[in-house]
Amino acid sequence: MKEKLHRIQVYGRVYKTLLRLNVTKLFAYRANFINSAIAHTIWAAFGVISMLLLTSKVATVYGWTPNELMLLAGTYNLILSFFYFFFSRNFGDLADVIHFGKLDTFLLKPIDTQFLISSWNVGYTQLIRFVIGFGVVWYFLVHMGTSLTFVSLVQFMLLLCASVIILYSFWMLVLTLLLWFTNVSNLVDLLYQINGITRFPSEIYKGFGMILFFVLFPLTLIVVSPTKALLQQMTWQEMLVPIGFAIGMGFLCRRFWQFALRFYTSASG
Amino acid sequence: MFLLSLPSLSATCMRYFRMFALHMQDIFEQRGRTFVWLLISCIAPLIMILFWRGAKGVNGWSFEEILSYYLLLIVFRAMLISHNEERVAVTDIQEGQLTAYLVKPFSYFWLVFFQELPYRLFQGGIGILFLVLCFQLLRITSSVELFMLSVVSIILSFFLGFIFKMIIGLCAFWMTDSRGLFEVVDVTLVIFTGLLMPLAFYPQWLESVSYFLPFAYMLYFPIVMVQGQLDYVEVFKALSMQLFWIGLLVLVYRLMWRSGIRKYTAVGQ
Repeated sequence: MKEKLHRIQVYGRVYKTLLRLNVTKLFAYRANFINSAIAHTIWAAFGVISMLLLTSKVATVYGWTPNELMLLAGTYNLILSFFYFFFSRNFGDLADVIHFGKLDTFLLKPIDTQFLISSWNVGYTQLIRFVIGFGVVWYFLVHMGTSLTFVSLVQFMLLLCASVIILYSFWMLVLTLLLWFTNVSNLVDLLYQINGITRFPSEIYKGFGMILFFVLFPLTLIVVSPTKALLQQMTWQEMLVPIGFAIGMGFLCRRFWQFALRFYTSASG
Repeated sequence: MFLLSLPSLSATCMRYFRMFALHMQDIFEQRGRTFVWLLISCIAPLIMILFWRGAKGVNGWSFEEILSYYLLLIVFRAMLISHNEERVAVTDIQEGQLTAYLVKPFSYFWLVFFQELPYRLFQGGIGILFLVLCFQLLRITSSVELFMLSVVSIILSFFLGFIFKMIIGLCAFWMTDSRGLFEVVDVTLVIFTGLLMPLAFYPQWLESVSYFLPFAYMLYFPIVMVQGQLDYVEVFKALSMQLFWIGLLVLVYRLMWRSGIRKYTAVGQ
């Protein structure tokens, strides 16, 4: 127990150092920082604008009103801001890291490889997306006259963590395939597109084919569940589903990564 | 630059054909990547089909027309939207590859054109196979004349999109990092080409604005023409707009190339 606690402290210190190093990088490459900030502002605004346009001429979509769909768009930005802040830049580099044999450097370090490849880069510019997402959620909650209670806030926080874990595990599961298919570097682009699935009500995938629905099911929980918590439509029992998926998928992606590492053949592969 | 002298026409055609064939080989060498790009162009339109299936109160269009629109969109997007801007800006201008092309007896414009064409033809070819499979779901004009005019519009829209992306690529002559610009262009294209939804669904003012811009003529108009949603007057109006924008963009391209090439510097041994 004491040793485990010590390990957690060590990883905490490493992560703190990485956060500091990333701030230094931010100021060293200012043009890159400005460009990223512009890009993330544009995409975050697009997430909101596109939903405004989609709902501009419809009364309801699968029983969701335009205001509720806008709340969904805000929550989508909020959740993605956390995921992109902590992980997405690292996943973006993973194809190159594996293809050019740079993973050797990570494997040789006296620290868990999955931790290191997932946390090397931090996307500070995602804070802009967070602000936009938070603003949209706040505006539409007030606009709809929904008051936040302590319970709904706790539920929202728990579901937000579960959502980020599901998203992380899904990306990790897919990108681990790069250890076998090193040439398919555009898998990350595919995952960015798949993220778009999460910003719509889960009902849209029902009846489209059970297999597809069950594959997509955990993804459809990512944004819908926290939004339902904000709308006070989530019971504690219902919360067990996304939390269960988060634990299950987290475990699965860890095991799959460890299994796949056996097939890593460095730059000669 | 665009006009080839007659005596050397045959030899020049042969050179460009070889370039075309060479890049066709690249597609088959990178089968996995090509397949993933195809998946990427399918995801967003498929989600939109599911979204509109559950939408209540959509004015004007039936669900069958919307379904047909997005199925055509998948194919037309793969076939007509070029992705040459990043190669022009990053590989050629910023990394200095352009120097090698400048000393060769080729037009840079046509060189990039014949690099891009195989990808569009290959992806478009697979797309057409896909359309044949779901032919029952398509709503296509029954008029042969209108269909032939749509084919003309499709060819013009490819040129329009290609020249536009070349111009975006050339902006790298004046910018050290073009990624922010690429993001702006991506979002603009998603909104104004009809990738998000048919432009007829937009609020009136935004619909009018989008008809003035060149983007609607890159994707939206060829699709609605094939669907038979335009009469002869509207078809000729759209074709005239395409020709007008191609003429204007060619002028802009030539001006940018002339002044950009004077600014261009490359280093090496």
